[in-house]
Amino acid sequence: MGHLAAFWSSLKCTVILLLSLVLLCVAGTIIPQHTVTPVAGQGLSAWFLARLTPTDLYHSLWLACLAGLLCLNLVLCMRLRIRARKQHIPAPRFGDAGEISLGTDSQAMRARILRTAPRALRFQEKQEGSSILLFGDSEQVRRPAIFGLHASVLLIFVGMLMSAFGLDGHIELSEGQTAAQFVDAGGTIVALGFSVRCDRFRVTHYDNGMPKEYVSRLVFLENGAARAGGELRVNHPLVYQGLRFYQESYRGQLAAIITVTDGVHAWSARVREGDELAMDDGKLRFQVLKIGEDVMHMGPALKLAFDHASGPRNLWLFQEVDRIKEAVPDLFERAPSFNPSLIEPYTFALMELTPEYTTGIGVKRDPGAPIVAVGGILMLICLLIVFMVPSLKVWVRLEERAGATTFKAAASRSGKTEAFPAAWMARIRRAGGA
Amino acid sequence: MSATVLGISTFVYLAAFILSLAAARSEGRGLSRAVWWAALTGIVLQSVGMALRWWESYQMGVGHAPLANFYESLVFFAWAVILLSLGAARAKASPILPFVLALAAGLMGYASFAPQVESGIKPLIPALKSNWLAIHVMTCFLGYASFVLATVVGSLGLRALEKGRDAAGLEDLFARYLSIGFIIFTIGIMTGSVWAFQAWGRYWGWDPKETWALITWLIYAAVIHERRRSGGLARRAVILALIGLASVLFTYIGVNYLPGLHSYL
Repeated sequence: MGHLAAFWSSLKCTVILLLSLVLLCVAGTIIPQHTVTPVAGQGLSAWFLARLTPTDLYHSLWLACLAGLLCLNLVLCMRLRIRARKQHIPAPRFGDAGEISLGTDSQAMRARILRTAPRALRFQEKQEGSSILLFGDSEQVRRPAIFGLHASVLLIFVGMLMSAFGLDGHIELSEGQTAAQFVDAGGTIVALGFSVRCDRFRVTHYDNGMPKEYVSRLVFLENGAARAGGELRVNHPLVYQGLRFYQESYRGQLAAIITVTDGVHAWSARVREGDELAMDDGKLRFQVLKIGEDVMHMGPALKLAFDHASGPRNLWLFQEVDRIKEAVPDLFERAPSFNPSLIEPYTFALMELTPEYTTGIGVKRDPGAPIVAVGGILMLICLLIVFMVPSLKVWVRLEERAGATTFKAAASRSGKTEAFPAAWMARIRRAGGA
Repeated sequence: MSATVLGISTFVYLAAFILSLAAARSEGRGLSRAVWWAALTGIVLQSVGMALRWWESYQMGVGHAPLANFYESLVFFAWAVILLSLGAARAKASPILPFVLALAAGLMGYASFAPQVESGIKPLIPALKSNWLAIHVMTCFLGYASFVLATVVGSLGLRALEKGRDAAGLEDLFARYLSIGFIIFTIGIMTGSVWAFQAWGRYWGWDPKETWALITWLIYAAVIHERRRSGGLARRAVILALIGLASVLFTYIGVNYLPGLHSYL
């Protein structure tokens, strides 16, 4: 049991786990990945199988297990560090260090050493007969930072776990359109709890045609009343009711204004590809199959589909049908589907085509993000302390002998014996006027 | 104008590299000093070239820091490698200069002369228009440069140890470059996460570039732990650092051949 605990709290284990995570991540970039959602109602075994598939490694049990084992390793290492706080002064490594006599009493000398010591050192003191042994150790500053560094990794893991309970959805809106729901990553429609309307969408381009900027003017509504709003740009999200809205994409399309008359009444509509319309109290129903700026080289046109009593019928509605008919007088006989009065008793007309954009808006809520942010900041602070504060240990023995204080010093950096820091020694001498 | 100045700095690095080979065979310190000064001249010229390119981008009306495409990243990478090596090279590790000068000259030469590297100043797509661009790219590339230097220094130090020579200076540099690289690269990943959260609403998306940056980070975390475990410049730590170097190169270049959100860099 002791061996097992020693292994799981060892650096060897850390290295093995880090490299195992590396292998998993490499596999994740080589094997094409896609999110695998276990089918509901197929039992635990189906869930396990879905979570073991190599095509969804980033949501797999493999990654969860490795992350869990790394957490175990981190927790055990942190436990060791808490225990290490109670350590005694290690044996001095004076070696062949010479003695220096500085001619003052030992207490004054002690105060001078502590006053001039590097700030990262924390001292312990031991009386050894007539001498004082001072032990300075930067580990007391570094140790909490190493502890914090490992804790920060745990915090980031906790944050990432909580992020799994967030929302990730998408809304597509044309100018003037309002939505009260969004489609989440799994394709489920989710209610917003309020409405969002796109009042305006604007895209500007560079001279070479690249998009320069795209902006959606959004208004958030509750019970039909505008509550808030703003311009949504890439890199500048909007926040409303705890949901974050992101400018993700846009899609250009054509809209057409058409009129329909039965000789008595007239109707008008703005239509887009895919729209299904009903007019004349539902007696006239059709779908817009296609909108083109130059159809068959005869200019702007729409293709409409009707469910007619005699079967499905299509109508090609050209904006310049009169000009075409002048060129081809028997046009309607040769191509009846070009006749705007094909569906009796109605006559259709295409008034104009206008470019229109649909803005793609991301809708997100991430409860784990603040925890990950705290973990990241903690990691950075601790990294700076751990790497910038040298791992320094110093031993100083002060002994009063025949009215003078002798000074013997040794140091070790990162576990290796080295000379007592010369700059510090110079400060000690200066502080005493020596 | 900037292209001319950057071109001249490439030739200065090349000349300094040739000089460094001669210095390696010479007994005196005169040639070594000349190499250091030549490298310093190169980086000053390169800095002027980069500043000019930045200014030119504003003249073209697309103003942005020269860190936005593959060409500019190659130039910055060369600059970062030289910058991080110069201070150390003067103090105690002139053996690294031939390697870094060859690398800098190679990167600059590739950026300038490879037909597939588009060197024109291009406007930014909306996703890249962010103050995070400069800090994210700079920290990532300074991290890459530091990791490259750590690996070079570690390999040289291990070779020296195996030949029974003193490698204390190289060992110290290995630890320093690892520390600096790890801190800066961590900042690079964090700034990328903050930027991704601001642009797309998620701080991590397992995009291939992100994943490979994590792989590089994990490998160098393993190097640091292995170095601590084996108490210095051990063979295993250096081998891991070499694997880390391969990972840096794949994170930078190889991953661009995988589909993802970073394919412009």
